[in-house]
Amino acid sequence: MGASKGQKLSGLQKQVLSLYRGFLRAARSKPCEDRCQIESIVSAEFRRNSKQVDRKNFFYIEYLLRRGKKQLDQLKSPDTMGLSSLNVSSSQKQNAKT
Amino acid sequence: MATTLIRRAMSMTSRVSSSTVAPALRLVVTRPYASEAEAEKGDAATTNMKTFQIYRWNPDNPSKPQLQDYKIDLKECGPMVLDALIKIKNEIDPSLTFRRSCREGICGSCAMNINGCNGLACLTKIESGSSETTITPLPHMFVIKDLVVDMTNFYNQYKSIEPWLKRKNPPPTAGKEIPQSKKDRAKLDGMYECILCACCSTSCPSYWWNPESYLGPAALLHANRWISDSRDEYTKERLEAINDEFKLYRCHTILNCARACPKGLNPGKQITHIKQLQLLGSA
Amino acid sequence: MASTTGASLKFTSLSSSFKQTQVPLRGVSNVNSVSFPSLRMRPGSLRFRVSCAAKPETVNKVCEIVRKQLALPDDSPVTGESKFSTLGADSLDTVEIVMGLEEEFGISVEEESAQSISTVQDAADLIEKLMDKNCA
Repeated sequence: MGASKGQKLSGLQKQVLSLYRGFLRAARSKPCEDRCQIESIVSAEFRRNSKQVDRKNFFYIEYLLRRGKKQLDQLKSPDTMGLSSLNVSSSQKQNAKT
Repeated sequence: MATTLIRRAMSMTSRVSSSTVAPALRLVVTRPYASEAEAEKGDAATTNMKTFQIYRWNPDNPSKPQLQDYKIDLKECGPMVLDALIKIKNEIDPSLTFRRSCREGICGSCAMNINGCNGLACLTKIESGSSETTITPLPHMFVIKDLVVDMTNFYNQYKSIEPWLKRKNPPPTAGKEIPQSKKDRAKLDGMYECILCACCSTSCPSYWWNPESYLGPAALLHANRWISDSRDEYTKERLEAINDEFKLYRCHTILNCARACPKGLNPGKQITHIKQLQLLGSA
Repeated sequence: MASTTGASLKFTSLSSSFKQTQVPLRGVSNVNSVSFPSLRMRPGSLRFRVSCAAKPETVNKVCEIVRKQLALPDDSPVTGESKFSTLGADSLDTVEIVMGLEEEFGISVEEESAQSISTVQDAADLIEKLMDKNCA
């Protein structure tokens, strides 16, 4: 993911960026304090995955995209106040939860 | 094994060939099957270990999906594939993930692909004849983990056909239910039994190619269930809503749906009924 | 014997279906050939006009926001020709920059145009174009 050195973005990369944009847009509709928290969690999650996930592991990236889209749909609901993350120590895995 | 049986059967026909031809031919067909069944019994008595090859993929440990082998003793296991899965999860590998609930074919949770055929694990008997059984998630569905697939699209399609009673007029007796004759009620047989397990839709090649735009056998069966309901007053609107090249007419009567349905229903037949009504409506 | 009859059968069915589809197709392709060139011309000419019009103050404001988003020092050289990637921004940073610009200028950038932005000048041009649209 981390590459934007002049080369054209792949379809999958475009989808990831579009999802990121979607999250940032959804965050705007929340109160200021929640918004900052959402932005920092989402940003951390995307950056962590951009470093850790193998760029060729399309199966996993597509899975993360689908999961992200679902979480975004939940976040968009006006009933959703904010986002929090849960650290599972055994697998070092962050799960964004609404 | 099989070849020797055939040879035996063939030598028999040559012996009987002096008599009439027809009974000899019948012998060729029936004989191998009968002796094969006997041979299976013999095998089961000596060994009762069976290998289950199960599809594994864990999103927390992102590598390629793979088939993992589990050997279990059939003598200490219930007769159904779900029994084997539960035994494996309890005794061998607690990380194996699958959906299950009622274990009697009414909840539709444990739909999966067993030896290449879609079915409910709780209603599918463990094949004692072969030494291996392969279990994979429902085909062409997004995997969430192991045998658990993402049903969002499937449920959304079900939702899109508005699966509830819609009325324009109040009920004949205010505040009471709407009566239905026995004959009208009988029209819903073969449809109301559907448990939305998705075995049919995920066995349909048409649905594989157009999972978003084609509604699939399950949703269309339910569409017909409400179209055929004598109490529903939105029949025309319902027909119009699905009169679409993709939503309805991607059904090419392949009829995998009818073969896959663990409840013995025939979604293909119900889709044909909708198509007939569309023709009548446009004429 | 059997295979040859099978093959010839297929052939006839193929050729007949071809004839059927060819007739309506001719009509469609005619329409396409008329509408395509005119469609292609419009966005090209628009872009050309807009890229000339980006005001220096817009470019400066964009530079400022880019510096802020990427946490660059105030005296770092950011100009119209600066590419986001050479300034050290990855694709996620670029998304953040465009989102920041959206809020600053009160505009809404569509997905497709947002992904084609790679320099400060690109951003400034697009902003002016969108702000013109808002005023009109």
